[in-house]
Amino acid sequence: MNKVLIAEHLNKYFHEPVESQVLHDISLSLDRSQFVTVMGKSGSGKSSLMYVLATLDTDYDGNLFICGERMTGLTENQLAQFRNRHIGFIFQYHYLLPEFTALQNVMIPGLKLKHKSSAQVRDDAMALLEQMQMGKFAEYLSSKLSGGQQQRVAIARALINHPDIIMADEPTGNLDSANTAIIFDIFRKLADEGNTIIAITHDMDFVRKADAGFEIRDGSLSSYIEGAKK
Amino acid sequence: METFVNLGIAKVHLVSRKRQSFIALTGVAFGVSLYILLISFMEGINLYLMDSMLSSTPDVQLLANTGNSKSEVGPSGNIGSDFIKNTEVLLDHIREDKNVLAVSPVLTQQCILFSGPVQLNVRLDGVKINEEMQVLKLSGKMISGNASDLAYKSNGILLGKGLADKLNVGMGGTVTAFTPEGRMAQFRVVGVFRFGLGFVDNTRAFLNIGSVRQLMPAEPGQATSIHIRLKDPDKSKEMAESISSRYGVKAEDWATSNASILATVTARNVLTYVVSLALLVVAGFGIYNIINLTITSKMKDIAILKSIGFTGRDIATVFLSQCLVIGLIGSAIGALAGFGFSEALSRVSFPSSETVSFSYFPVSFKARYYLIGVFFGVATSLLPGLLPSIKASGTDPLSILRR
Repeated sequence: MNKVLIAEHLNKYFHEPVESQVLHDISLSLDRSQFVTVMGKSGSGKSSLMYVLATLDTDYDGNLFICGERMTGLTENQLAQFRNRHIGFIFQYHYLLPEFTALQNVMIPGLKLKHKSSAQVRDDAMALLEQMQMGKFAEYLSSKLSGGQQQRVAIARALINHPDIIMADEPTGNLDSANTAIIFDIFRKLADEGNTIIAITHDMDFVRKADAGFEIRDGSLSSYIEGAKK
Repeated sequence: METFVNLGIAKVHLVSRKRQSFIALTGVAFGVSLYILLISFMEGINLYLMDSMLSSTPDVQLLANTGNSKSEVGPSGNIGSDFIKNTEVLLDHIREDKNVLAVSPVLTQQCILFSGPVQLNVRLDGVKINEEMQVLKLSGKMISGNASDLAYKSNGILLGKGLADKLNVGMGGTVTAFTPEGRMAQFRVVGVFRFGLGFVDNTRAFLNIGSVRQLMPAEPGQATSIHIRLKDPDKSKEMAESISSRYGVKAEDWATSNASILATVTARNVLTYVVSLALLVVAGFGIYNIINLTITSKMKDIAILKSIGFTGRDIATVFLSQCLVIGLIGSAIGALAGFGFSEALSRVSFPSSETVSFSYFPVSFKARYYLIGVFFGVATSLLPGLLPSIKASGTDPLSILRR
């Protein structure tokens, strides 16, 4: 079982405002420790694909397997628990909980999982923040942090449960070039450390950093770009 | 924030919105404390009334069975001038009943009492005072003198407080009684009582049964009514029915005799509950508003929590536990404040009046009402939170993330 993610013949339709097909028969698979990007223009369906792969969207045809488990047909609660354990999320708009400190934000998925004592989760979270060079902001309310800082906290949060796959939805979409560079480096480092990453982006630079890249156009995976595979 | 992550999140939500949480808390505390104050005061009044009523009314009162001649007016022109026949036999029979604590024969005569220029219509109850004192709790209601003194003062009389005041007589003073038939007698005041019910204290006098017998006049062994005290007052109604059917006399239990007072007790209870529930409902609306607002403003957070693995149930727990905490703390504060208010009210002096005998506001302190208050407080916090929390738990994270 070297495939972390397998998607078979995904089709998705929007019913509102008019019936339209967003994803056309998409099949893809992801090896462990692979860093893959999905590139596409806005409206190409890349976000829709992301939400399906992320198990957040269950309204699709086809089959989705993550870590060998079939996601299609699971209940919402089962999916939530699965995401907690196996998937780390990084969104475009950071999506931290504003009333919580950076450290608390990172800890929450770990506390939810309950595989470790809260003291252990705290230590892990602290270590991750240090790794993201955010250690000294640990006790800051996340709403007081800058966008680049928030995104780094969000990455730490995605890593807290040692997920089998990290999914990022335009992680640099909202950042200036300096912060974008920092995030790129972090992703590259995470990939080198053996994490499995799938990132949605429209940034060619990002694609070049990845092991492989798909391009999505009008809902179909249309090409495969070799990335900077070592 | 540590072990129970849902509760930790709830706590952060509550603490980070101090003003809203405070307002919600205040609403619950206000409702609960006012409920407790109201109900304690009403219960104080009710207890006072019940005590006055039970001590001034026998559990069961036997009257002559006027049968078909109900409308017939006795020779003295007074209702109640019909005599119960064979009183002694009847008394002995009733005394033997194991439910009966005490019985007392009473001769009642309406007359006019004079003292100086004042004349008042009074109901004279001729009693064997030692027996009557076992039926009515006279001894505890004496303002001056001893009720039992009547036993050896053959021309003695016990006056109600209102009556004594209006006649302007005190201990040792004399009053003159005129019956409608024109007979008269003089009595010396040996005691003044106050049951705390105006219609008793203003119109009632007790004297020896012999005095009334001479005044009427009546035969020895005749009585207009028999007062009965039971071991268990709750059996009054059935005892009244069984005595009535067994001995062919008219029997009335205390609840029937005091139906109008009992009706006011019920009305007061209903009013109290309506008012205090209305208060709590208003507090509930406040909480609904606040929780609804919180959830609407936290839609993004809910989506994040769901995407990182929180289930719908977790989300509902986060918000419901906020309601629960508000309810519990608010109720606790409310119960304390309610106790404080009640305590304060019980120290406020009551405007003096001839109809009531309390000098301070009557307030009862019963743990039961505090528990009910807390229960309502928690319920009015949880119920309004239920709907928004369920709504939040069903939120589709996609609908927020897609924006």
